[in-house]
Amino acid sequence: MPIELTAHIVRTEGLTSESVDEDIVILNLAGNNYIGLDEIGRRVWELIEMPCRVDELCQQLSQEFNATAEQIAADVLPFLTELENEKLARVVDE
Amino acid sequence: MTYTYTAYGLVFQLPYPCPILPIAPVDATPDVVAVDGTVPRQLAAPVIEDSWWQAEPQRFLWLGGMHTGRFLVEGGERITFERSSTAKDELLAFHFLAAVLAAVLRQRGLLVLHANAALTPTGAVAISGESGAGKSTTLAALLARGCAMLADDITALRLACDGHVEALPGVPQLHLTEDAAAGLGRDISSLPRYPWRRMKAAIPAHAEMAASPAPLRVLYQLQTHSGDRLCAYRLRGVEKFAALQDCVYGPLLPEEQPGQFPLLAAIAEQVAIVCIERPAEQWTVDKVAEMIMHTCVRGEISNAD
Repeated sequence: MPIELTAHIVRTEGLTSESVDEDIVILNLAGNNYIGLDEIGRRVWELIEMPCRVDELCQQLSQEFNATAEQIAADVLPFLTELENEKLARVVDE
Repeated sequence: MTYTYTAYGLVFQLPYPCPILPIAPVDATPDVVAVDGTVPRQLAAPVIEDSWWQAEPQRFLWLGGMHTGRFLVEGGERITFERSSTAKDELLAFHFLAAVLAAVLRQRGLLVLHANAALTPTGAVAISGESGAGKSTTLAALLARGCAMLADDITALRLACDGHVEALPGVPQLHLTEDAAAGLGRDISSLPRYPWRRMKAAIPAHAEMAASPAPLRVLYQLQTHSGDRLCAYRLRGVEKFAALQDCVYGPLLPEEQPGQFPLLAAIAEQVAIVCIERPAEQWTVDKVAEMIMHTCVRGEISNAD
């Protein structure tokens, strides 16, 4: 199910990750694989350590990466959906 | 009677001679003991398996075939071996020194790569790549340039006490085809060929072995491409992790992943990972070896003309 802009999202607790150069690699035990995140993905990962509203997340990223919130949302929403599908993040109540 | 040998920093006690391995000191306590015995035809609950083996946490069963036998590796400390009635000694030795040894090393927490390794003036380098990419030929070319040998086919890595990643001296033998050996001035006419290894011969390399573990500086990923030049480029970020995953000598069970993750991360942080692409045809191992030596000694990548 696609994630809504008004949803609150947080990353799954207890996951092991390591920085590799500018990227971050997450050990996904549930999927028995490794997930690699580049610069923007890494920043999203950092910001969702605590629950945050998706539209506010996009607003923050648009300021940091000098893009419109709509452009950011077009990339970030599918990315968050993928994280949820891999059980690396989940939607929570406010 | 038992025979005691050493490889990868471990002492092995075997029920039969394995003359390619260095003999262990007389008073050495075995880390791994191999015994003749009854080996099950399958594991109770294999997590991963294929036609040759089965694996569950701390147990690896090598099913072998008609001309070998079955090996059961347990806890990285015990190998039980049941020889088939038509077993061939050279095939038994081959499987023991390959899949079985790799299982021992994995169960003991080492990261095992399907790669060769050499000791250069600035540290160890490992060379990975698909079968036929030229790994062993490149290793032999590095030995011809004065490097010492660390491993052929199975490279074992661990974290040293000070946190650096080091490669361990393995089995002192090098596998080359007749053409590759001739090109490097090695005479293998008296050595048997192995049909199961593309007719390569196992060449003893005791005199060329490194004596102790060495810090790993570079992992080379040898590939072919459709171009006509030899070129190299350094991998960054998650590409390094993916390259490492490609050359892990598995299986790596899900239960083992958390334990291996710090070592994988240390490798990605400390070790340069360089992809060398060579032409599929018309290539010389000398140019690949020179590129590796240039990278190691000067710390920079320069592409061949």
